[in-house]
Amino acid sequence: MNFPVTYREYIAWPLIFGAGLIALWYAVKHAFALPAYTLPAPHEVLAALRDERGVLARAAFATAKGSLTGFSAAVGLGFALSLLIAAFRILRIGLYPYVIFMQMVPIIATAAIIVTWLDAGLPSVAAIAFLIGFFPVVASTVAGLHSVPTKQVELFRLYKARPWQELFLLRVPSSLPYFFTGAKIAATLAVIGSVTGEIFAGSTARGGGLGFMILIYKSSVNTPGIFAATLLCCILGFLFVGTVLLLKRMLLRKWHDSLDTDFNPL
Amino acid sequence: MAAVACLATLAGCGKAGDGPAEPTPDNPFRVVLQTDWFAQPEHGGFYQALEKGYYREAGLDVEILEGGPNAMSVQKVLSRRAHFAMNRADTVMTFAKRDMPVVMVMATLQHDPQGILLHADDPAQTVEDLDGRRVMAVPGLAWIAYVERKYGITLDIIPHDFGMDRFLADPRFIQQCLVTNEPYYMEKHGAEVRVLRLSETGFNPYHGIYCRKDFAEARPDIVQRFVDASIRGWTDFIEGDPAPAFAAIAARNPKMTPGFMAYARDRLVEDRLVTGFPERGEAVGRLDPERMRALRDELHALGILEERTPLASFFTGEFLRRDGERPR
Repeated sequence: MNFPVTYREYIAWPLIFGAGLIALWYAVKHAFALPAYTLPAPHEVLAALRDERGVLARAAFATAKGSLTGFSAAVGLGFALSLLIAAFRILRIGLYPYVIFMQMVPIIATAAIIVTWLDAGLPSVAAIAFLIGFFPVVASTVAGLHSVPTKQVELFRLYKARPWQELFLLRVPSSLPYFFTGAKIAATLAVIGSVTGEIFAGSTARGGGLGFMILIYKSSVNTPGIFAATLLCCILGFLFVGTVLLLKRMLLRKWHDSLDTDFNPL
Repeated sequence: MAAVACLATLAGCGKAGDGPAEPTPDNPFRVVLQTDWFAQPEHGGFYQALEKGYYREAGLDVEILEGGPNAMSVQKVLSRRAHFAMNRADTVMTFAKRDMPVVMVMATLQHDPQGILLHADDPAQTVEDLDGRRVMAVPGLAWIAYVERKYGITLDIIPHDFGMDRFLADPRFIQQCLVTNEPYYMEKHGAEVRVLRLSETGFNPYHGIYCRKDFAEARPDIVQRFVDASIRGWTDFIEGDPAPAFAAIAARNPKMTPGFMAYARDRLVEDRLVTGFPERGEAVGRLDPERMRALRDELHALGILEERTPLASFFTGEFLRRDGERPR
């Protein structure tokens, strides 16, 4: 069933489905006569986006900063810890189970604790964005470092490659697709983490952030505003993931044929 | 499909509201009151009316629902899961601005108990001195914009976590409070505190009870009974023995100790938060249209309300027409 898909279809179908979903939105609103404070219409959300563009732009910038800081730390430190785990057997056996365990910690509970430690502001928000992305990066990368074909490992050992050569010249390159899968998860979660962080640790001084704006819109019963801020969260997350996929494509183009799966849904 | 059913509920397809045409103590009309927080002395009059049977005498079977940070009170009233809920007049004005069909029918507090809690040795002496300071508060509340614009200051607001740890840990911490509440607990934990009352800045909205407009129109008799019995309960709670309300509150909320409840009631009594000042025409439950108008005009002048929302869209004096008072 592998029909060739034209680029025209890549544009047409999403547009058709998008229009259908918006029509459904209007239909539900109309059928139940829902007021704007319960379910704003798409055009009311856009109007809120326009009316609040100044504060929302500042908030989106703050959220992007928190997400980017947290994400970079998650990827950098996550990759470093993965290397250590791959290099030292004790760490793999002793520490790795806890890394997997830490993935289960609900971020909302962590957020409440972190804000009491680090106070409100960017450090707290970035720390939460970091924590939510760090463990998926480690879990994926470690898995990648250990899924090198046995024959290649045997070849390295046959030629008496040193352990560091085996790690950096064999395991690291072949783990990159796994690493990018982790990074992609971290990119999606970074925005979620940042917004969650802002609900606990936002502050007007740093432009609030989208999570903080959602609190403000909630207490002033501005439902279209909540929808507008949420829409911006989605767009931000999309940009983050898009950037990671682009980097992956640039770095791995020549190496791995697993590449196109992210872009080609068939 | 579940989502659609959910939305149908939100739209409010007939819920509470039906009951006997002529309710009696034996055949009462069932009424749900959604309070704004967990059971506490600030709701004392309602529990007093419940415990002493004033509602029952009035032909009402009242259920009091406790609130909390996620009570979603106005949604409950709009979807008819509750008949009455509590909030400040400024928030009820915001509801009107968003085309939510609710009206305030009585006051619970004549004066705003909100304040800003500081450590006693904090250099700030007035709200104006808080320019640039970090304040833990509920983001988006009208008082924040009010004091910022009135005094030309900026507060660095961080979200309220409804806890005390950060205040106790940081000698320069500042947070929003109720004069009837946090100072007691902070002092219990050894902190010396000071409160800047928001009412002193001129921001002094009523706290009161609101309901759906169509409910007030369809069953004015029920609203009248509820308002009368609640005023009776509040009067008794403030002037008489508060023990029945205290017992009911402590039974629902074990954190409410006799010491705290006595403190909170003392504040309500001594600061005349419930009775107001009779020489200014204030009384239990009373809503003065002039004060409502003044608050609306000031919020409008400061740009917090975009338009001068008509009084009738968020307030009615219909149920408080004793002493010949008429809403204007």
